[in-house]
Amino acid sequence: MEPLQIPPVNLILLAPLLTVVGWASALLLVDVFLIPEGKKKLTGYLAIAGLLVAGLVGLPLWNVSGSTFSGMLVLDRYSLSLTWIFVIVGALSIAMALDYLPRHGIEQGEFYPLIMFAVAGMILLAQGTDLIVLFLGIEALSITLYILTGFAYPRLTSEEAAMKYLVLGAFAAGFFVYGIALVYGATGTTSLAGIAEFLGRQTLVAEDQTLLLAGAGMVLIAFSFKTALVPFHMWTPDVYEGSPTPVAAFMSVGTKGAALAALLRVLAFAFEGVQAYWLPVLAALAAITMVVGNLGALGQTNVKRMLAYSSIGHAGYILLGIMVASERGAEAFLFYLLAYALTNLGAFGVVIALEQQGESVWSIEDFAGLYQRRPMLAVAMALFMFSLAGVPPTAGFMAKFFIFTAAYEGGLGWLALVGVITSAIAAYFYLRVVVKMFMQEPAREVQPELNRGLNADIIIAGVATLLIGLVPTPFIFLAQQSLVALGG
Amino acid sequence: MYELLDALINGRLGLGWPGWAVALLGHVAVATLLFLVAPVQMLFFTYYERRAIARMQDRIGPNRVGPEGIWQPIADGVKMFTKEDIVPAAADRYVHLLAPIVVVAPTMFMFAVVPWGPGMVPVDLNVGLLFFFAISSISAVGLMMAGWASNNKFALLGAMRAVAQMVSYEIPAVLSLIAIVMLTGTLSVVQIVAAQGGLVISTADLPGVPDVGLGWFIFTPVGLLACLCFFIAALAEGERTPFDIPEADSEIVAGYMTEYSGMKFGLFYLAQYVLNFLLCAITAVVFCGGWQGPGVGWLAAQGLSPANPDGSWVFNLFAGMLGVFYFLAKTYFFFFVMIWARGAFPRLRVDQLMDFGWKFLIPLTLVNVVSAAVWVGITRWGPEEGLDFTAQWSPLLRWGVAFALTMAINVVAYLTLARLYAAAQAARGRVDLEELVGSVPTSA
Amino acid sequence: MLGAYLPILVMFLIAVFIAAFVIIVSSLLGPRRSTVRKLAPYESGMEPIGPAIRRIPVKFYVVAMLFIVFDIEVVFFYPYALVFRDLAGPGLVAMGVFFLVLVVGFVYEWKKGALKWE
Repeated sequence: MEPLQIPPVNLILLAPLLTVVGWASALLLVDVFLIPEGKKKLTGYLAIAGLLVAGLVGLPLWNVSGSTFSGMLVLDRYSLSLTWIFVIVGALSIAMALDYLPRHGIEQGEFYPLIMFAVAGMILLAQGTDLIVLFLGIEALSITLYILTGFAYPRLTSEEAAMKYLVLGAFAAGFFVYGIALVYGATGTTSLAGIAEFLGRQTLVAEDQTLLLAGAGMVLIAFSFKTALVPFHMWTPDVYEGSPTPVAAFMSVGTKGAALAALLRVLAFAFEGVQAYWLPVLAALAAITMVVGNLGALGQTNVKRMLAYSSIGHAGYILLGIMVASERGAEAFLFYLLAYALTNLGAFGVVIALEQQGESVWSIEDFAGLYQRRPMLAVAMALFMFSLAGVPPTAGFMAKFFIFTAAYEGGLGWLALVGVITSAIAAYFYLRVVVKMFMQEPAREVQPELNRGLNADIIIAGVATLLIGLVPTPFIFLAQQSLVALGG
Repeated sequence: MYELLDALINGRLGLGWPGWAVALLGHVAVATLLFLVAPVQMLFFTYYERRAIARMQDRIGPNRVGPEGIWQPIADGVKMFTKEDIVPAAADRYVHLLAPIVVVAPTMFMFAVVPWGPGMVPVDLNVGLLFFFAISSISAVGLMMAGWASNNKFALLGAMRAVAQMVSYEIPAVLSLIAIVMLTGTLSVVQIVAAQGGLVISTADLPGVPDVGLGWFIFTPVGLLACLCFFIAALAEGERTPFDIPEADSEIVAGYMTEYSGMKFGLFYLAQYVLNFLLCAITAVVFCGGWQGPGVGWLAAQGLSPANPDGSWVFNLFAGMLGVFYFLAKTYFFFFVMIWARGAFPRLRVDQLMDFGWKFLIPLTLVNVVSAAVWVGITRWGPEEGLDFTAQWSPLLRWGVAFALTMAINVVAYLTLARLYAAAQAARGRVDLEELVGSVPTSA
Repeated sequence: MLGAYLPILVMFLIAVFIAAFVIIVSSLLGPRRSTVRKLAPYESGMEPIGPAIRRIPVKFYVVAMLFIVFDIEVVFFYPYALVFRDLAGPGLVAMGVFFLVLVVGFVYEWKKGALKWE
């Protein structure tokens, strides 16, 4: 028998990931043993600290790149930028939850380590260059989210949401594994680089590639489930509505961003050779996603559901950047992700501030007259709505601008057109919230509650949204730098 | 075996059978032989247990049928065979019928990997130990089927308890075997036995030790702790007192067997005793050298073998007989310990059972795995594995250091866990008492 | 390679055959005189109340879940224990991390009371 060899492993390349996982594991025990009931906020602060440390650990790695674990994991600037985005998303979500959980009587210390584990899954998705690792990342992310979705335990909608998400998520995971198996059957490898090499060697004839295409299709379906692309989006509104609001915020940005980031890597590197096959499919998906997502949001009076549909629509826009698969497209993707993440987290923060204890109604009527009561909150919400709609001085505008130009330059002009039209439709329901806040009298007495965590969240998100909108150059530069030597 | 049959059929009788037919005939012969031996062992065990427990309880036990009651089990068997087979009206007929088969078949099947003597193993699987445990857990499915199909409250409760207990104690059992797998580097039961030559110190640890077949793992701290944990887990797996909660007759009649009668009941009984035999056998094989003992190695070396073509088959015969004798003696000894435990201990409560398994045995076996790593590291590893400082030590010193170190780890772990466990149990007792006092109405 | 499992297959068939055979023979030998009372569920002589199969306490499911988690981890342990000596240092470190994760989970569930049987 050949002597077994463990391939050399460079753990430095995984430093942020390891920091998050190690910190979360330790925090789990610290929380159980040292932090008494009722002081669980401390766990939250420690979790935020852990995420920030992980982000800092990533800083010196900016000029490092390489792959390890036999090429299953890679560290490049693309993954590092994504790591930072995910760390910010995780930290802001925890900040939102700090007071939300005790207010709703569902405070348990596990919430914070779970978010950290989810962030670790997202980082794994960003760093993975092997279908198996991507599967691991998706599962690590999903399983923690199943729990988090059902975290508002006695509330039935939360349980229902968790159940729904679990069943559909498991279904999607099944698709993913079958897809991997078929791709492996066709190419003999699960590594993205290996698949790309196989496709480069092969002159592609459709009938020889049935297995490969079927596998790639199944992987695509799984990703569509996770990113809630139409027609795989049915679960999204229910799950967002049922789950605790900070979790919904986290999911709307985090899951989506991580899965799309991984999808970009898969499509752009592994399956670049069969672009002719997947491009029309994805284009159709993106088009209906944009249309259905935005049209669906039109009729909603529940703000959480509206934000859910809006997140579906935004996934469509982000998909544009992925499809182009050029440097421009990937840049636009990263930029859009950052802008969308901050904006959406801010919007959810305002929703949390308005959320009354023990209620499961998030009516748009509650926003009526908010300007008279809490002018700053109303202004912040208006800013986020403008940004989501893509109105000029905000981050959302710049992001949409970049993504549409990238799509146009990439030869997907008609999709860019669909995007512009749907954005115009979307403006209606985003601005409806603004109109309610500024021009109508309150329908009922709603006492907005603000606290340190929420304040920080809304302020950071608001300032960033404005900043990215007004001075986009450094961020674009960052996105451009991130794509240097992308590939691994 | 194969050569022997081949010589007989194609050589002596000149039938000219193809190779696969000869092999098949050989396998069928071995299997049939084993399955004749298994019920005999079970019959003997029932008699043995009844007599031994009677002696402990100051009774005589069965003594009427035949000399000293030796035919009693046969009489019981005949009675079972001719009893009416009652299937309750509410039961699920087919599952009810299938359950005893699902319980018995895997149990018999586990005989496949147990070595009886030198070279006397039905199948030398390279994953024998894993096979043993994989198959043993199938019968849990059968128990659940029995409890569910009976449509009886006692049966279902008994089945739930049985399954919960079996799965809980399977983990410490398997974990304690991992320590031995780490020491030997193999899952083959035959090779695990072969690794236990020596005299107190295994020849594998210290080359040059005279090999009299006494290098059992039980003589090392790692093996001793593993053996204790494994045997306790085996008591629970085999549903022996003090872990006979699934069939606690004072609480739930007969557990999952409540609605079974006649030979179906007999099959459950058979499965249980065969399982007990096998668990004792595996304890003997893995920790106490199986057929290893003074003389077997020497006899086998004199016998006919590829390495020694001049040997005489008489020695093979004697080696085999002596090996089987040692093996059965150890197995019967462990079964005696099982009976002894039944005579000495009362039954545990369910919560005590679960606590003991999860909070005491599992941590202890986990520590033992670490001990095993230390043992292997000190006795076997050298500079190429990254341990420079042990290279200068003599093998005896290495063995001594390993022994002392693992002993220290295990004793400290045992004392700590025992103290923790006792404290937890005491706290629990206080809570129970307070609840009891609190529930008594104060104003009469 | 798979040839080693032929005797296993033979043994399996014979084991199933013996079990089935015994049941068939005993059902031929034994009498059949069933009455309504005899076919009723056995409840120590009381009239059965309600169905036997009802909701099962959740603690059994907790045990089942813990078992699955641990059993899978133990199954990962076995291949490692086999090649433990060949892997030497790096393997020990890797398995140490695995072991540590296992212990973290174990300590956590212990402290959370998942192992408590009420």
